[in-house]
Amino acid sequence: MRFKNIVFSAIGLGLSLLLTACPAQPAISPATPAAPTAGGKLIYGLTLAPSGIDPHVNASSELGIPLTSVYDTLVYQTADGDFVPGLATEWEISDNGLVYTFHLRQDVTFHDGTPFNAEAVKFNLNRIADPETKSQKAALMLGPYDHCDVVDEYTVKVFFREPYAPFLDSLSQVYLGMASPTALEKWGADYQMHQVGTGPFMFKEYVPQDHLTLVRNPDYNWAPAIFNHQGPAYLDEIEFRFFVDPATRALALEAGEAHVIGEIPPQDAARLEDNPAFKIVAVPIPGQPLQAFLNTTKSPTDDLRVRQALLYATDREAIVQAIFREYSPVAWGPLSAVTWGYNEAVVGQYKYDPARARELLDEAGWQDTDGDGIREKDGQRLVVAAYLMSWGYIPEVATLLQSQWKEVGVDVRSQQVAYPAALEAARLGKHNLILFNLAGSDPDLLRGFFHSEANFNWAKVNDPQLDALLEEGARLRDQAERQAIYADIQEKIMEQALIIPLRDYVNLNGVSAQVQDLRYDAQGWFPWLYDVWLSRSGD
Amino acid sequence: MPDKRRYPIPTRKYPPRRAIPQLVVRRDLRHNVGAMAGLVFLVMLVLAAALAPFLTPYDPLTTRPANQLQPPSHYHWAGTDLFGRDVFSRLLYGARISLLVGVLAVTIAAIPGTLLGLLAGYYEGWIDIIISRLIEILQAFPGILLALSIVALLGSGLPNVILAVGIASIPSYTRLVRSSVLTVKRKLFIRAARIVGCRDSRILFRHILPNVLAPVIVLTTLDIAWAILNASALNFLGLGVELGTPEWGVMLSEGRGYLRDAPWVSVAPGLMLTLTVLAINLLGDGLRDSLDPRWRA
Repeated sequence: MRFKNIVFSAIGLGLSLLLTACPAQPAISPATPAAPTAGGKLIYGLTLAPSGIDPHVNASSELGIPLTSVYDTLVYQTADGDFVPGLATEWEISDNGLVYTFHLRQDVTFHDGTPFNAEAVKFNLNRIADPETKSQKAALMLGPYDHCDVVDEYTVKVFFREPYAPFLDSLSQVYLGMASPTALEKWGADYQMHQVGTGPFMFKEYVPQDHLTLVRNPDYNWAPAIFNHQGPAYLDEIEFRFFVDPATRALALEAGEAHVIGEIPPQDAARLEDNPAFKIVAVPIPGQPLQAFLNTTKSPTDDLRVRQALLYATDREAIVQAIFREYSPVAWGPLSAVTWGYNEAVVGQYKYDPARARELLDEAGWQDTDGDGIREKDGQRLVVAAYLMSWGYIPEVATLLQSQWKEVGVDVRSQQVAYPAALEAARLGKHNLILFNLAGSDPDLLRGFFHSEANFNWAKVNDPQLDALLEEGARLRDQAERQAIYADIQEKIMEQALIIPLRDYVNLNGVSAQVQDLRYDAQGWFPWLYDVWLSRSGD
Repeated sequence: MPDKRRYPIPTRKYPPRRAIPQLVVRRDLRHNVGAMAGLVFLVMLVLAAALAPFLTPYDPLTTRPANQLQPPSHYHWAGTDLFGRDVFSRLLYGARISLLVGVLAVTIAAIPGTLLGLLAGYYEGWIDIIISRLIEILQAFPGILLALSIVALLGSGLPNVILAVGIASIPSYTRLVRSSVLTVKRKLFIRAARIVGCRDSRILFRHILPNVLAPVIVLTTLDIAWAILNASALNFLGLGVELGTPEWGVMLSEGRGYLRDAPWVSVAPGLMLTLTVLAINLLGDGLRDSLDPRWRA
């Protein structure tokens, strides 16, 4: 106890020296009611250096954080999941769901002076769909896209081969942002270093692994109504820097090296919250919670009773409390609670019940016959093979799973692997267990994991009924009908115990108290920096 | 079988004259304070590792999240980690792994390394050319990078880490032994042995090997420290032991995110690693001082 006090007082002393040394961080009341003031440079910390940052080509979420401010999208999505006008003022969807007609704004120009019009939309969508582009994400988000027709200068029709419900959701994301056709043609494969959009900030410079700089677009006058103001953005400049090691992020904020950094470790978030110079903006991410996929084709997890036993043997509250603290909710199903289409019926299923877990394992014929604490059946020990990636607290979570499962007589053999190695192991079905999560605002993302032909079908599930439901969900247009289908899908996944949901992902953004009006989009990952301004009270 | 030689073998009235320096010169080592301190530390470490279950009431693997990140106290001498495990007992059990890694990795390096060096130095010619080029290829990579690549190739896991760290230090043995052999084999007693009709294997293992062993022993000692450190580095990077294993490198890595709130989680294994490596190096230096003829007064 004494030692802790000494450390704390040393840190406290250091902090107070730091605070007195830099008058830029005075006693700030977090809710400054003052009017926004223009000017200043924001430094935003990214947590991963992406390998490529062309939103049409690359897949990383990290590229969307800066580039959401460079590109406008045809539609925007509100926090409630409604779609509102962006570059498109209105749109119609044909009754068969195959044709989308967009009416475009007529006052928009790209940063390089190219006018924004129907031709530009066609050029962009065709570029994404073109196999030559080798799009890793945007092309998938376009779904069964067929072609585009320019009706007149500001009207464009988008045709699909099959009905595709998630299209507006895709269109609202930076991966389908509108880039200048002139710049795309001029730079070709080198476009990612010279990006040109219509957004409130212009791409200035990108030095890979080091920084990415945006400057204000002085001509911006077409902000969607969901923003707080009109006209150019408040900030002069935004510099994105990389803080890859989680342990350094809070330190960097405290040292004034950045105004905002995402994915602050929970233990550091608690400390930052106690400091009036900072706030924590906790953003729940829609999509999948962190979950363990259970392979239904490899012993012992091929037995439903074993999978259910593992669920009952998992004390999620204890895991979340130990690792994620009070910031993350416990997850109960394949979708996190903030995702559109989330089914509350899964809440409380498979609540921690080690006695029930033991019963199920007994029923399945697994008994500890040699008294070593691990069950056996036909000379086989009850061991699950886990493949663990090193990010997102996966090893920490697995450590606790291992010790919780040991209580009921299950052993875990784990291997830490890089992402490609995990994909390979999963493809070959060498795993019993893989932990993973993917963000996304449309429940159609489940199709990529639980359809029998899905790339990420890590549960190795092959259920024609589930396949049909997933396909139906992607096709239907009626939101209520879709919701019912996804509710059904979530229940089916849990009935078959294909996954062990662990915690809903919450992105903890550490933010300097100077930063005002910072909001995040419906994806949860991407900041709306257009409305952001820096208060200078106490300057 | 009756002795058919014409000349009787002289019976040993006097001990044979030794051209070889004595392997351990005790007086020198005993007066070396650093080496003795290192030796004492290592003996204590080995004892602690062997007697770990009797020295600590806690199991190094049992997690108790409610008890997480407790500072050092008389219950938990080195505090507890994120999962509520007792850091002190993990240190003791970790010593087993680190010592094992050090000894095994060095065995893997020293035996083939010495053999290759003997062959290359003794036969020269094309055998030497092939062995030396191979060794130079291995040496072109920095040790840790080579070990990393080997683990990447073989897959993670403690046995592979030991193998990787071992292979990465083969070249130093080969080069050391080869150059010593080149000197020794031109000495008169080797020529004599050959004239008497000794087979190559006898000359190599009975006459040359004992004469080149002293520097190998010194290198082995220093190498154990290197192996422990590198294996810890690989484990720190998550390439080695399984989840939950109390290995010092893993413990360092686990505590890294909590340096501000719970420094003991990383500091304790870091300190152990430093002290162990220091102790082995001091002992190795002492051995070199007393064994290496060039260093002796």
